[in-house]
Amino acid sequence: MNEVRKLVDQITAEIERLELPLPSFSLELGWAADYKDLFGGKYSERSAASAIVEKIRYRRLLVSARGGGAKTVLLRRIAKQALGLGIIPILVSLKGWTGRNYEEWKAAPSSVARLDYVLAKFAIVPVTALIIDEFDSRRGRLILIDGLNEVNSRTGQDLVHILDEYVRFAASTSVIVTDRLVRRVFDSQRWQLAELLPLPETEIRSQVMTRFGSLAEYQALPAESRELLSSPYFLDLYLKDGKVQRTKSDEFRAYFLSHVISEDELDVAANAAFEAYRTQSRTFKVDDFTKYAGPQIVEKLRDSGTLMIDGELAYFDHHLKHDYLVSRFLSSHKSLWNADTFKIVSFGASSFEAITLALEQVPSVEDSDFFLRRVYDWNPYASGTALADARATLVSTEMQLVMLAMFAERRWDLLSATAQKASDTLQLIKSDLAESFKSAASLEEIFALLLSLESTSDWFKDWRGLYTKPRGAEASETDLDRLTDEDSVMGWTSSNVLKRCELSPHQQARVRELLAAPDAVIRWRAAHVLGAFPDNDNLASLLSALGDQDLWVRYGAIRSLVELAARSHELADRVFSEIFKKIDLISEHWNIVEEFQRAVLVSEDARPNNWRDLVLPVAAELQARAVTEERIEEWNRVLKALLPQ
Amino acid sequence: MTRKAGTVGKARIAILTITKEEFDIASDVFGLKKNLSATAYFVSDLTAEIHPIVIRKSSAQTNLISAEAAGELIEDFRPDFIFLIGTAGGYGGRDELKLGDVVVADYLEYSEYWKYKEKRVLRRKLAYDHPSHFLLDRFFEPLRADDLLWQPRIKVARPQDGKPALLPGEIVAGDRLYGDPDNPEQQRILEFFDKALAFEMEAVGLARTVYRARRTVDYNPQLMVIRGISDLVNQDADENQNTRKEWTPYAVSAACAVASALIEALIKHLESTEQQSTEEAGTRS
Repeated sequence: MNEVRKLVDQITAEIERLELPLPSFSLELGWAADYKDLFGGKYSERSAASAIVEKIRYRRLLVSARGGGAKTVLLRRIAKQALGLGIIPILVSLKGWTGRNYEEWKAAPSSVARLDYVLAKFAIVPVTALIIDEFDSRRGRLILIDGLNEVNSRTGQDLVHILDEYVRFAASTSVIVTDRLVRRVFDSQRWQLAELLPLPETEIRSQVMTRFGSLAEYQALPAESRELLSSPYFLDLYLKDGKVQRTKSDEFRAYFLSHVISEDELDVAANAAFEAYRTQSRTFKVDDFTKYAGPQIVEKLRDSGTLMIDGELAYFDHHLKHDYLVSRFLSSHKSLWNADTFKIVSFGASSFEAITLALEQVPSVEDSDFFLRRVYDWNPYASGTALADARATLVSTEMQLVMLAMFAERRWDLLSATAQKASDTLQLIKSDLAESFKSAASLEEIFALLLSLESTSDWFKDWRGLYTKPRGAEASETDLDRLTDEDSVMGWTSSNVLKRCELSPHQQARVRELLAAPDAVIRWRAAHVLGAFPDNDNLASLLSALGDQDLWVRYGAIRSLVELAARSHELADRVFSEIFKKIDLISEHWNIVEEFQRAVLVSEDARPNNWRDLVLPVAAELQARAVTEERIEEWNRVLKALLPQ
Repeated sequence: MTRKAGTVGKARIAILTITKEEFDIASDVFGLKKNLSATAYFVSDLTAEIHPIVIRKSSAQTNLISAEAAGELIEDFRPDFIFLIGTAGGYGGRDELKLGDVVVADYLEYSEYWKYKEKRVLRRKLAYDHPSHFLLDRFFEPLRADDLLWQPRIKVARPQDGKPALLPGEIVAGDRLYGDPDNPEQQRILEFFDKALAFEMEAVGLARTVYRARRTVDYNPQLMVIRGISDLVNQDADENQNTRKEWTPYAVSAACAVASALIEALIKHLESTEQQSTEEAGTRS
């Protein structure tokens, strides 16, 4: 008992010792019923962040915010507030998560062991679930997880499920998690959602007035700069310096140049920062960083307080500074605009700041459009997020239209997961252009929006001609040729358009032939098209594509196979029987299994009535092959989602 | 006995039902007609500090949903005992089982976890709790010995002549309705579990949740599954459907009769034990 008391005293001392930045900003939360409302900015209620503890109804709260939104400050304040209320706060920061932690996390044998791992490694005072259970339950316990986005999306999602179950069965325990604006899946309906809102104009004015005694300079700032100050991080900088730029990337550049290093040194540091992210961590070895940056730059970064050095490890005092350096390197190295790099700089599609900041810095319209295309090829939703968050980019209106049209159409995708993600992404983009696409209620309305734009761009007119082919139209041979287009936007647009066209048996045979093309992307596009045409030949071809040497082709094939079953009630039984026979191929890669899980969640009104019974044998077999508790539970979630709603 | 409360309050006993028919009859039998505002829970007295019994209906069938409903019950009330009360399909003839009988699970089986390998079907297993020995031994056995303790509590007219029996036995829970005796998978399941008396879709969800809830030494939830037999899984499919319709109210009432007799005795025991503890504490002080 004394040991437990000592531990609680230690936690109390550590929380009390935590510093809070000054001046203190009034933070506000917007409470949302679900992610749709959260992304759309529809809040059922707004409240001061200080009211957070009393507003938790079901002991689980996820707070989303943009980078620099003061998530860490919020959790520190809550931890101190909890102490004042007699609650024991367990503050956990995932910022120090490194590549090695993934291995150790995976090696933990159960969900409780994984929770213990996080608590022991990253809590302000190391604890375990068992120790927390020994804390006085009359006081209540509050677990605060800072930065779910600091780990890759799969680990973050697993942690949400683990916390959910822990809180369910632990007495008097609540959890608050901070995250970026990304959708997570919850097991129970008991998670509350809130967004840490941008600072309101009144708060910004009040802070500026207190600091400078006048609003004159603030009022003279361009609109983009004033908008930037709604981020606590940038307002804080402005209050210190009295200067603010138009974009986040300009702001960071100005910071480094005026406080830390020269323009040339900035490029060297950017290279080192990029190499540091290869470890998939924001914490890295000083020696490794020094190899690229050189000792002088490291010294300057350290002396300015930008680089924090702790023994042999180092990290930036704010991750956005690291993100900026990485984005600077990325924006100036066109050869790195590919999936592998994007995966590195986004921590496996978990955090898109570096990509957003890079987009702001690409120096020409042509390259900006190209950059966005490359991001879109890798992860459409990353390109949407970059479009939503970047300011003053050179992306052409035409390219924005292409992206918006794709997202708007995908809201009606047969597969629920695709439709939901497209809808989320579109909601995040707040421009006037985006608003018109959000309100488009049909494909024809999207066409009308596209056709209303006067454009002199040949590529856009070419793309628009292809894209606006109406549903059910006969495809031309030229349309089919476009499947092999080197331009990824044209190639994928062709793939999507063909799915809604009429293809003759001869044309379908041509698409099947492309499953043998030397280029894997073309094979993938062909597999994507075939999902729309349920017949035995296409079924046979897609089944063999499950054995393709390229993972993305397999990925496209499993998705299209499920689509065939959903589109044809007659073929559905056979499709799943045949998939069952290929189960060894499917279970070879978890990515393919995951895509199958997503694909079977076809919207209820678009699938055969006995859909769950059709899916069940394959799902049960794949579940039986799952090796971890988390993977077994993932199957349970899929099976639950297949129950009639 | 732990007195740690859940999010909503504290209950000694929680009852989970699945269908509306089961819920309506069970809430009548136990007098649980008052709804705790903005929740799925019903109790006898809204002002009680500790609810002797709380009841809720699961939102749907299947183990996945019952697991969630049981999880919420535990989170909200930390009950010491959880009862799953309702109907099941029986295997007619095994242990002389017939329509209207009540099966109280002494062992639970899960019928959805298999590995198909080289034309063989291999069984895979999940960990979960089994019915409480304490409840079976101390409260169920006396009922078996004396039909008059529970049979007169049945409030619904029996569709046919005869008397219900009370049987301990294995209950199998899957995620599919077994309504077609000609279906090969159904036949395989019925043959594989050759000792099972009843087949349903929720008991293992509850049992798995109870198993997962055992994470501290001061919480020892115990479960019991009581099922009235409303249809026979080894009967013709069309006939089975009609049988279920005809026998369900009686089967629910019979299950509730057993449950009410058992829970009444359990509550008496709990009160007596508690009183004794209080007196002992008073003597010591």
